[in-house]
Amino acid sequence: MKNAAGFPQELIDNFDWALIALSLYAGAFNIEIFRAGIEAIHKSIVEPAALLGYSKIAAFIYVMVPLAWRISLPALCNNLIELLKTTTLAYAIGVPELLYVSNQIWSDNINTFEMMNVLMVVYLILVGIVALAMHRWERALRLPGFGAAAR
Amino acid sequence: MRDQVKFGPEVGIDLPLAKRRVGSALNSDLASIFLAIAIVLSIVLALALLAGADTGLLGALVKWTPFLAKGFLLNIIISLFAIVLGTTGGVFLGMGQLAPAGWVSMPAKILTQVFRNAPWLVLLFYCIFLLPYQIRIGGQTYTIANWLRAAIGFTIPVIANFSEIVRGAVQSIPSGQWEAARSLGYTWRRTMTSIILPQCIKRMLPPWMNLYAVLLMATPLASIVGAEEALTNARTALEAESNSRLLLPLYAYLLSWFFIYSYPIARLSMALENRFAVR
Repeated sequence: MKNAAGFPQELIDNFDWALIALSLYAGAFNIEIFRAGIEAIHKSIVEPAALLGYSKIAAFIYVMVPLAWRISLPALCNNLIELLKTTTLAYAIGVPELLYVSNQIWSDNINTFEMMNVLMVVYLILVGIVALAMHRWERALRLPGFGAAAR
Repeated sequence: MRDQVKFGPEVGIDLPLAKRRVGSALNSDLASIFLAIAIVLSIVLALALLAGADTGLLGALVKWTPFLAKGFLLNIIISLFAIVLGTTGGVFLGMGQLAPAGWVSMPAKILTQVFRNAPWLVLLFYCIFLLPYQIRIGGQTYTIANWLRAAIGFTIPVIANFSEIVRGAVQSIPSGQWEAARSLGYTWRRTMTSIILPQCIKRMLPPWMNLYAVLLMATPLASIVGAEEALTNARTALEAESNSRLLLPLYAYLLSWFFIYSYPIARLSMALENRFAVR
């Protein structure tokens, strides 16, 4: 593949690799979360669906998945936040993300400590925003009558 | 609020899985662990054979095994160091979070949230750059090895995560226990140390093992900051061999080691979780 200037370019560059690797990594956790969510649905909720004439697949789509989604949401949010923090790892393969750029700055200006504090604060703010938004969403989608979240 | 802890039991819906697996949990676990390990090893073997039809690659893998093992041992040492210190610190920080006095609980909560929500790599960089290279104790100068500074860097997030695990476990104990202890004249500290925490150990064990597995998987980060652990050694081996076909098999080989070490831990924690889920 050629880029705009006509130089050869990799088909999948480091950014794409980071994207692929992180997707696989987070996806593996999400699978476990969905599994736990589906298993947490009690039989007594699915059986009435069968009684009402739902086929197995229909019961899965219309009864189990919406419930499992709402049960899994807090864990999914945890995973998203975890993933947000894990994106720093792209540094290791030379993707110019926040840590990489900060490293360049502190190599040039020898202000390691200050740049690290900036880095830390930026990440805390980012995580804070995501956490706040997710928390509100969780609250809105909470299953009434289940769990300690009712407090 | 956002616990790392696995989610099933806390929701208060009973898991059918839990009941199924109480009896023969350990036997079937052992079997599945061996099966998984066999599958992984055969995948690595297949990759090695696929990458080069000759047996030279396999020979190279065997040749570099002791060198990689030395690095992997360092990974294990780092993880053990961090989990021991981190657990100790985490218990105190977690109890601090629950302390009735605001001037204790507020700083503990802030510390926990800050260090839990910071990326591990950033904390690692902090420790690598900001800890002194040498310390002087009684006239003698000691150099702090890179791996030790990395291990300290891993300890910080472990403390914060374990602090949350402690808090979650303590809050899952019915409040009746606290009230009963108070009516018997126990102080807060006595209630905590001799009534609440012993009950919590059972609940903290599975998330603690999860945390250890996560920690172990994070230890290759130490290679970024210059500790000579397994990933660094793998890179060195690749450079020494200068054979690009070795790249995939060698990394897969290393991956299989991590898997073989941490998969049994994950299975054990799942088994324990299921066992404790039955009430």
